[in-house]
Amino acid sequence: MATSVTSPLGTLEWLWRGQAGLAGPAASGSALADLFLHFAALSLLSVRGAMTTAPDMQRFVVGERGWLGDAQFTASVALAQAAPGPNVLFVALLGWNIAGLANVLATLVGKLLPSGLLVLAVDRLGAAHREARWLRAFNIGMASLVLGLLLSTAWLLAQPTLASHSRARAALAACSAGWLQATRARPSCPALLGAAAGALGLFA
Amino acid sequence: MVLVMAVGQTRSDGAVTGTLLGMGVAAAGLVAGKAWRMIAGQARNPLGRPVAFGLTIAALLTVDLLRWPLLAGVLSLSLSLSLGLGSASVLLA
Repeated sequence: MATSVTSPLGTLEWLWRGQAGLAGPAASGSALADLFLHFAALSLLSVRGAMTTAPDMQRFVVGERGWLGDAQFTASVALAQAAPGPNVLFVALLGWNIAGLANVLATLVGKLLPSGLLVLAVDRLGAAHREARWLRAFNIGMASLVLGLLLSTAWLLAQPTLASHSRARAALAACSAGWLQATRARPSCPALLGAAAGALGLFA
Repeated sequence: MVLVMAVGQTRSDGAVTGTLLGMGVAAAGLVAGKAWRMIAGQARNPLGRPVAFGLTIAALLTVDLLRWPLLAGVLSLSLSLSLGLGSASVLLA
């Protein structure tokens, strides 16, 4: 239910209110604070990149609050992966999809500020105790958890593909995964390929 | 971001829907590929494969299958994590 844009002022309002329009369920101040706090808490846990917290964001934003549909959530993640720049931008897209620029600020600041401060603190601590056994042990233990969260994100994003039983989609997903094994360069290439194929109606 | 704004205005368009769909499929593959690369690294985890992959599966189950909130899930996992930490410190000693 995109708001139709007829004037510069309308465009501004559309940007501020977001996809859900004036009736956006998350536009109230308390909901904004809610979103900010949840993302701030998650921020502290996003040890190896924002993608690991995607399943929990989906649980909160789609499952618990119903602010976004599954398709909108997946689209936000997909767009951030295809676009140049850090993947954490999908958090901004989530915020905007829910209720416009006000939410972009809530989600992005919530997501970046606590983990930024934490990273600074941990970095100092880590530099001081580089050889400390507990730090190395923590990193080793965390790597296992992060892998679990990453698998969970992949599972979440793969749902539409698995449900469709489409060979073209399965082939594209496999190619994207293979691309990462073969080269370290430009993960946005498979995403752009998928975008082009999708635009041509290959997955319809 | 500008791209997304443009997408928002034409969401009902079939080509736009297809584009988003294609990007979603590719994104799923990319994340899976990233995880696959980590699995190879995990095989050399000093915790040993059973503990390392046990922790991974525990994280997967609590977050994905049981849909526990990540905060509570991680708290509960910290029990098993501390177990892992113990064995890690022994192995690293």
